[in-house]
Amino acid sequence: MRRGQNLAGWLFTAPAILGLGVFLLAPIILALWVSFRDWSALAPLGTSTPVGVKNYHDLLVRSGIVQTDFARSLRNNLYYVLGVVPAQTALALLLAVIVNAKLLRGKTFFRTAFYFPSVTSSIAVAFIFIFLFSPNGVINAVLSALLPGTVDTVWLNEADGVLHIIAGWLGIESGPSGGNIMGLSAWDWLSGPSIALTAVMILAVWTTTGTFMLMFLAGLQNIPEELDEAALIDGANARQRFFRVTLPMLRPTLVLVITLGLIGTWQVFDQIYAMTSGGPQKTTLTPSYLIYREGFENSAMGRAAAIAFILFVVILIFTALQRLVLRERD
Amino acid sequence: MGTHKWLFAASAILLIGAPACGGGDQNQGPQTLQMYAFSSSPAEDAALNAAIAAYNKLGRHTVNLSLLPEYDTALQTALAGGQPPDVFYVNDNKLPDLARAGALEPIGDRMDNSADFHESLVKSFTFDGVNYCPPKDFSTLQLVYNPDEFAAAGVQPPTTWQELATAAEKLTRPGRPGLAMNPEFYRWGVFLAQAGAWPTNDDFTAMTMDTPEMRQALQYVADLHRKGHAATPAAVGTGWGGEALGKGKAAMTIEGNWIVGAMKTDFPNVKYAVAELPSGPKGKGTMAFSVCYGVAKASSKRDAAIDFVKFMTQPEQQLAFTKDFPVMPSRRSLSDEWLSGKTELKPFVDGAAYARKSVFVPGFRTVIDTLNDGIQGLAAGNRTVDQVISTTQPAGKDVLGK
Amino acid sequence: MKAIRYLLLTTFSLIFVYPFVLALTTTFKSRADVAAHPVLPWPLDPSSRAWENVLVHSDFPLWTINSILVTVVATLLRLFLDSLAGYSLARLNWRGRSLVFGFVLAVIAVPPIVLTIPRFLVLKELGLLNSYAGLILPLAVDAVGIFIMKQFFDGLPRELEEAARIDGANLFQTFWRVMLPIARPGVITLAILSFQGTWNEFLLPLIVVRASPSHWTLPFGLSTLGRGGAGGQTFDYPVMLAGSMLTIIPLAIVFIVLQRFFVRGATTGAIKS
Repeated sequence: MRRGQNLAGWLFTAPAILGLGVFLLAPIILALWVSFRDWSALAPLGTSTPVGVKNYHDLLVRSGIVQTDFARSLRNNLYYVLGVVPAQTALALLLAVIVNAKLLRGKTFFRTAFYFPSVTSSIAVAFIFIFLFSPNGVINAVLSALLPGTVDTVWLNEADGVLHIIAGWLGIESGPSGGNIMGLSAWDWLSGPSIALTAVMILAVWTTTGTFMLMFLAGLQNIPEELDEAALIDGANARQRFFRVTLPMLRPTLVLVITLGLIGTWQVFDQIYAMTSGGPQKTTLTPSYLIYREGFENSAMGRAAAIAFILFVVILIFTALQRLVLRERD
Repeated sequence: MGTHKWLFAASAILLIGAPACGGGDQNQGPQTLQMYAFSSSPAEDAALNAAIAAYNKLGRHTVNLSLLPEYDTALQTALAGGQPPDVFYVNDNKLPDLARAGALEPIGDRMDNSADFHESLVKSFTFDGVNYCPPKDFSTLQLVYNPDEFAAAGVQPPTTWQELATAAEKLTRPGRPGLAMNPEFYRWGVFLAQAGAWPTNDDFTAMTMDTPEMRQALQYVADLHRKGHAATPAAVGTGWGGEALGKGKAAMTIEGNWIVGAMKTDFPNVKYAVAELPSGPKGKGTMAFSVCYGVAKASSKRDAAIDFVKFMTQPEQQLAFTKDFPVMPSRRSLSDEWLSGKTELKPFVDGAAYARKSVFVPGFRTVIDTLNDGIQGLAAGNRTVDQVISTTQPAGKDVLGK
Repeated sequence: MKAIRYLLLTTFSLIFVYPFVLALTTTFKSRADVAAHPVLPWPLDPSSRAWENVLVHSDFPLWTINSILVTVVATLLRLFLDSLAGYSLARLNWRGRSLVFGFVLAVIAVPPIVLTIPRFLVLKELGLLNSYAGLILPLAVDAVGIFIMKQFFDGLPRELEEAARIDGANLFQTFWRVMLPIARPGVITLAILSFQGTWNEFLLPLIVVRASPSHWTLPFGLSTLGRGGAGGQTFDYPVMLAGSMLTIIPLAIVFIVLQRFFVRGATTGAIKS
């Protein structure tokens, strides 16, 4: 029996191992090799030439347009992560708590309504948002109704950073020059997300909240009712019960949601492709989009592969960091 | 067992889906050619389809056309994948990259009566002394405007920078600029040309961004935007200059021949006229864009492809193609005949005499990207001319090597 | 308190649902109508232009067929291969099992976007660019699916399996006739995750078949719709939205019919970490 299982075990997993090997492992090894070469992508791979660490050096060390663009993409994505992850987590938790209430009518409807955007095509949703954010679209109409005056922002064409705009209101028009890191001045690093990127962020929150809400719902349903009742008997009010009982019990789910959020937000691509193509003024350029642009538009496959590996490391660092932070509080 | 049937079906589907072997030799007889192209309007679609239908009817070979959006990237993906189409459009600004990478079969000198092609166009498709492909046709940029608005504002087509600034001001109404133009080198470049400025010197050995002429030109256009007399099409809620003009979101724009086909489709009732761009400090200036018929070096059907390109570049074909989609024929001998049917487009033809090309060296695209980024900043008012020059100059040095 | 709750729920429902409603009704508007009344959820001057454009004058029907083909084949392959591997890892005793499981766990961590260039290179070397196989094979196995199925089989009782073996069934028959049917809830969950993921997949067609319009699937075809003008920057909203609706609707139907499984899918899909 044992011998039969040895053979069957391998046989049963062989197609899967082959699939993962060919389409996951082999690609990574091949790309690692390409990331140390110069390949225009216009001619066969055989015509590429070895360049050592040049691609990585150009991205990280040597000042020039390659480095500045990469720095911009990191900055943009960093703001994207900082905005989207907390927003989607908080909103998902809020919706889960409300939908989870006992005796709520139309529970299924609400759950479906909130979750549905998560299952739809990213391109379709991006198109809907291009329409909503168009100059005479819904967003501007709603804002015009709520705010004094007429709002006619061309959202997807607005490159000014949100933090720069706020600084402008406070009378600060530019920062001290210098503080140059990777070709961007400190003032540029502190721009905040551009208005255009903010629109993409709103879309991201809108589409991902539903999935995370379901995860929180599953987490909430795993909390034994007795705990809540015990707290109720102890005279805790709703807010205390939420922060002292519910939230600690949801911790595993919270860790999960934030982890998935971090991994997902560092990979934003489809929406950028469909909505802004990295513009205006490179304020929606992200590392993922840069991989595509360098590889398929700028004929620099080696550099694109190098960006992919740096992005991989960035994602690993962020998830490790987040685990560390959440663990230490225990 | 049900499984086996099921697996068989699945693998059968995969096998059917697998690509047919691309190999084959330079065989004789009728071939099926794959062609990639792009189109800016239904009028252009129709012209191209008619030309291909005419060729297919001859029965020599059959051409299958794919019109691809985001053309340059799509073509590049096909080339990178090692399965390029047999024939494809090549934008002149892409030629140096494709030529250096060895993607093109040099066929420029194998056309009939190739001396008839405009010399400047042939130059655009020549790299390191090799003439790679015959020009298909070309377009130039000029000032396209709404004559009713000009009349209402009492404005004549401007002939100097000063007049353009005044006209733009007069045509500007609150929330609506007089001039709408895309924030990119391929539009702003006309003012660089008029000022005698250009990103590089003529033999592409040095960057020439940091010159008084360049500052003057960039500052002039930036000022038009700063005062609100000019704006980007996006800022007025439109996608490009033609749409801004068609929707009355601007009274003038800077566009090329393709605007004719697009206006016919999208805004058939909007009146417009074409005038030469104003002269700058160094006289007249505009930009010309051209496309050639490239044949893939990797194609196994090159002879058939060359036969097709010869057909497409014949005088009769060029005239037929450019009749309804009025780009200009690449053959000098056809200029007068082409113009006789559409004298209102004369400014586009006149531009050919003094137009500059956006053809540089392989890899220059990143420099243009950087310049475009700066130009967007100038149009939005969040960059200074100095900043644009100080980022573009080193970006270019990186590519030119000095 | 209750009032606030319902107010919040209603507001958020509106935020999540209204865009779809507006997008759907906008497809029946003329371009002038859209420009003049972009917020109104009904057309003033009903027009079928956008739908004609999409259904008759674009390759939408072709993209739909391609999408169905790719989604169905990839999902079937994935179900079969993932559950077979999952079963083997959960229930069979073999040397190297923990090594293979470690490999599966390791590749779960690889973010798909990082694979953009790598996959392109491998598919190119295999000659699979511009083919259905290139669209299907990379999606035919996934580490998360193997993991989900392994977890599922781990939780099933062993008695049935033993009974089947006593009856003389071989290992594959035991898996196929006995265990897979019991694992149906897990399989359905995986089917939904796979269906949804493959149907919406954009990056893979973008790099694999962009140069071959006859292989385009819905999301990539959709991304080319309704763009006009010299720079492709003029948006024909009714056409873009009609295409979007057609891409969303098939999934919406599946979603409504199989809703409870979707809910489970979303939560199981998450166990991976």
